[in-house]
Amino acid sequence: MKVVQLFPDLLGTYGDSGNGEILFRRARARGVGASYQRVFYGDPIPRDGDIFVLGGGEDGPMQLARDALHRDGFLGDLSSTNHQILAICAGLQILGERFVTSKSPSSPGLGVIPIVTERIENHKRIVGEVVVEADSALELPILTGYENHGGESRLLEGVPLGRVISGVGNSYSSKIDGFFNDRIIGTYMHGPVLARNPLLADLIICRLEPKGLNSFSPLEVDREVEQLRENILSQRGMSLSRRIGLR
Amino acid sequence: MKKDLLSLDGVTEKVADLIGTSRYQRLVSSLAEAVGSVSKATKRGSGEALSAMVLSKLDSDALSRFAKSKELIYVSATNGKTTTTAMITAVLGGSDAVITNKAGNNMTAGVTFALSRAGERNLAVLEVDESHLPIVSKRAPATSYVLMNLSRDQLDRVSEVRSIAEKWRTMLASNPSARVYANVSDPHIAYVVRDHSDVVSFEVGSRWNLDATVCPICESKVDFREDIGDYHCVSCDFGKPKSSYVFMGDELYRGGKLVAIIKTSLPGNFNLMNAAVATIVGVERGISFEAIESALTTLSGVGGRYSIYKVSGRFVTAFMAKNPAGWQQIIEMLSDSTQPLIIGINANVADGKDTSWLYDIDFSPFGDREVVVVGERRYDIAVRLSYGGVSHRVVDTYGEAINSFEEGSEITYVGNYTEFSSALRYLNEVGEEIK
Repeated sequence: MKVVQLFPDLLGTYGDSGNGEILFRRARARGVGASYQRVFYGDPIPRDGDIFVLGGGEDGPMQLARDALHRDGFLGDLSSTNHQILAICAGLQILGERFVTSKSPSSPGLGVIPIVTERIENHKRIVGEVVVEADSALELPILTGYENHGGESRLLEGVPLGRVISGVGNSYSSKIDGFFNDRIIGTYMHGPVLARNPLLADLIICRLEPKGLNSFSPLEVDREVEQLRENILSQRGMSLSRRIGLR
Repeated sequence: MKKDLLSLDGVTEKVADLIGTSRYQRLVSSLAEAVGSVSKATKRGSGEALSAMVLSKLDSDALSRFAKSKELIYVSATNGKTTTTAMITAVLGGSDAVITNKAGNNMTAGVTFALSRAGERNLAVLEVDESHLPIVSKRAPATSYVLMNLSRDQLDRVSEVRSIAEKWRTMLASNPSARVYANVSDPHIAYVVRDHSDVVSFEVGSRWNLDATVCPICESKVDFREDIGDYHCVSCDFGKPKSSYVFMGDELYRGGKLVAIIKTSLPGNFNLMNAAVATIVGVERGISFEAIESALTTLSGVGGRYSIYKVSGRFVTAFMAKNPAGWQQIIEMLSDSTQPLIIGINANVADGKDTSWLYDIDFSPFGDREVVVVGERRYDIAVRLSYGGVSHRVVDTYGEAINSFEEGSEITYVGNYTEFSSALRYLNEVGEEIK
């Protein structure tokens, strides 16, 4: 299993590059033969990648990343491959239909995710803790993250990653966060999201591993993650039953 | 008591009449002093921060008035501003000759307060917070600026790096006669001084360039050649400008000629770089290399940084690292020892409420030593270290952390902003500063 962190020099300024490292470490800890590659801007995107991870970034960098992915063409054509994508914030936006930057109110995206992002009107930049109840089909505990974005996203079709319990998510009016299908998980949650929500990492790994989620035992690090989640969720006033994130 | 005796009718008008008069200014100064003394007496702090706050809130002209006819040198950067300010102050004659602010009191209030205590001194070397520099500079334009680096710090609170660079540029445009000492190893700083006339440019290599991969002019990609410390934009003409001084290893060159070997009593390669900056400012002001060297090699702890504390038979040195660039420097410094380490992480407003920046740091070099984690967000750093392959212990208190190492151990403590402050309070209370 090859984990590819795409353009950490452009998309990864909010610790999101940690997601690739976490997928790699968790897969390895479960005995899955895994490798981890960071692909910098200008490097060729490896065709043998299994999981592609995109992070958040600022306006200029995200456009460069979009241009590079567009030129390469690989991620745009999901039908012919069997890879997984995890896209955070700016990564989510550039995979959408169109997005907004300081210089352009409508910049074309790669069209992989049916989402459009526009400038926030009449509200402040979206910054702070966010708590999300994941779509029930994913069978995940409460998700937490840190959101920090200046655009509002509208899902044109498909299913959001989850319902926002506290914080904002895609937009002030929608009360939902991100998008998912069987190939893609997109979210506004930094943190990095997989550090705070290890079962989301396991879910992505399991989609590529026939063994299935239940055969994965908790890892050593998960006791610490439990404490971390306990800290965050108790501050957000979440009840104990919802806080229990780990088996 | 009759109600009308308590009425404040007319008082606001009377105060309004007073504002701006010298009597009002004296009143505010006395009030500020008094509030500070109360704060100090009740052990809430040194009192200075509170005095400074009262002074600058109640007397909005105070900064420009106190700054009048003074020679002002503002030192700003994301990392290294406190220490470099202390070094330049020492080089230019120490606090007897130079007005300076205490570590951390680096916004409008702190600068105002320092200047209000000028006495007979006319030269001020002041550390200024990078996002407040344009604000302070607007009310009290500097004679000289020392601009060192800009990297990510508390993204949730302060605007992004390039927007600060943009504001600095505007600031210099409205102060065209100012002298600027600029570290052009950092592309952001090179961009800030690009159109300024009086620039003493220097290169003191900065290892951290993940925040500067995008061209500040055309938003294309900036390519770094780390081996030769060069960079240029792949699309437009932006690139590293020629500089007057180059610092490599411990050698300072001017116009290609070796002019000094830099030494300092403070640890770490990053302090050697800070010392090089202080040397350049000193030399340009006509101070001899001998005098500069003597000032830089006799400097000790700066606001508790780098001091050695003895605590229950163990020896602790404290460092602050509050962002990935700062951590990079600390990791480099510690790479030639296997000293046990305490890492403390908080996420209060002053630290940035988000801890995800911990994943922008490669902690794997610490895999070879004992590591203990503390702080309000100790589990955030614990998880980070686990994924980085660094084994560690999680403890609740400083006492536990220190006592978990063998007696006689020399321990390094590294914490982010508010965590570092509380560690220093602990070390000062429980320990004894021996150096």
